Amino acid sequence: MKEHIHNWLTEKMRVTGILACGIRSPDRKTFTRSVSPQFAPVALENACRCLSDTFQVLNSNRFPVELVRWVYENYFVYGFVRQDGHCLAVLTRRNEMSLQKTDLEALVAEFHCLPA
Amino acid sequence: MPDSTHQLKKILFVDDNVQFLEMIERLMGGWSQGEWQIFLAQNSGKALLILQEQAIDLAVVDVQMPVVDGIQFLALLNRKYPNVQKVTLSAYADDASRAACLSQGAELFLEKPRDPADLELIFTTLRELARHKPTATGFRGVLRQVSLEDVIQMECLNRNSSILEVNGGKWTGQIFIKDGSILHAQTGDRNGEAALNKILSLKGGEFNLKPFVEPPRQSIDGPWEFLLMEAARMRDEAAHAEPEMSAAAELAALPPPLPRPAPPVRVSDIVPPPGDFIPAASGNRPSRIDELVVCSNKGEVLYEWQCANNTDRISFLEFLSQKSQQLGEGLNLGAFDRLEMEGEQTRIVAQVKTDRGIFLRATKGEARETH
Repeated sequence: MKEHIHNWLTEKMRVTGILACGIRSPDRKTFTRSVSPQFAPVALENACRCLSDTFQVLNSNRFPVELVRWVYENYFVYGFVRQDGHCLAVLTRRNEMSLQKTDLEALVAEFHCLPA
Repeated sequence: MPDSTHQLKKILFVDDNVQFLEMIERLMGGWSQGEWQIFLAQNSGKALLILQEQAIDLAVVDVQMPVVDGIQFLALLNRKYPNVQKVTLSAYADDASRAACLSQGAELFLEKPRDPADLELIFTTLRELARHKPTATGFRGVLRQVSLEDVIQMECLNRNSSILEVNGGKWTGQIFIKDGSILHAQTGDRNGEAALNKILSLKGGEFNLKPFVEPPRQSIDGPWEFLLMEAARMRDEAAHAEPEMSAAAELAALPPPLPRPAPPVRVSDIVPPPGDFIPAASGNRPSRIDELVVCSNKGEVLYEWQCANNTDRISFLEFLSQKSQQLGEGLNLGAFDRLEMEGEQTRIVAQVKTDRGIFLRATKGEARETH
């Protein structure tokens, strides 16, 4: 267990608007946290895998994107990828309770500096 | 004892390694405790016959197979049997193969096990996947029908023997393939190459693979590659020679045209702004649209602008449709609307709905200024 990733995710759950988040490492280990049992660890792990698959397929299509946003009826799922292959998924509501842009930018900056 | 809450699942393994298939049948058959009915196929042709006769829930395909490899087979499977869940196994799990398999509809890409303990882990993963039947709604599963040429090519490459029965409305026909060679074709009062060309020119329709029986006579003896190329050439010529009335009739049958975007279009017009982290183009310069594809839920291109590769974009929309369902599963996120993607210079929006798919790529305004 990578304790620092676990701790960082736990700390990020205090950011207003974040409902759940997870990190998938290149060795396919996944760490997740959520504010509610509605977002079960298995479902979040699955979401992280989908995110990682998406970055990989986009890369194979020669579209090296760094961030994606899945837009659902009620939620946004943000995804970010680092050059070493670590992926971050962030689930937030799609309304006024949504995560603030500045908070999200700060989160992403920290994610990029997080030790592997 | 099998859990009575779970229905019997039909699992198909496709691998050219007979020993591996036997091990799978013995071990996984035991572990599943009667929950699985296992089918084995040593090549893609045999797998297709099984898929036609059985309502397979999950197909597990080896990536490295001779003649028609796992990725080619997966592409065919994805189009002809989109509701069958698909997993690939590979002894060499490189990123390129992984991405190719995922693009072609594989739910999972797994490394081939090296010992029984690893195999049990794979069994657990497959069992969970098989229990979770995906919903077959929306964009997924209705894109691009598999073509007759695809199946003929696969049967010939695999040196199979079969009969392809084709039903194209008022036309029905049969193509006899023996040991990978096309022996005979018949439709109406036509036989031989004339019949083959007619069958291959049919638009729409259905076809089925049947077990081989000897044809009444051998009317074709050319190499199958040449026969397919010749049929394609004749189709092209016929298409160019079609009278204008026919083209007009085809146009009339198309869905009403979508309003054409009048370039230049701002991406911010298409990507709604609320709560957007993906910001509108910086400065006063709008983003420039580089390509746009709009297709029906059957993968027919309704509108395209400067798209270098429609097939790849439609494949991506299929992938997106599949992943958006998987991602939403268990999280109750509501209906999927779109995926927005952003790179250093590029912004992409892809949308899949029950009746259409849209792929739009643009260069960011700021990138245009510096390049």
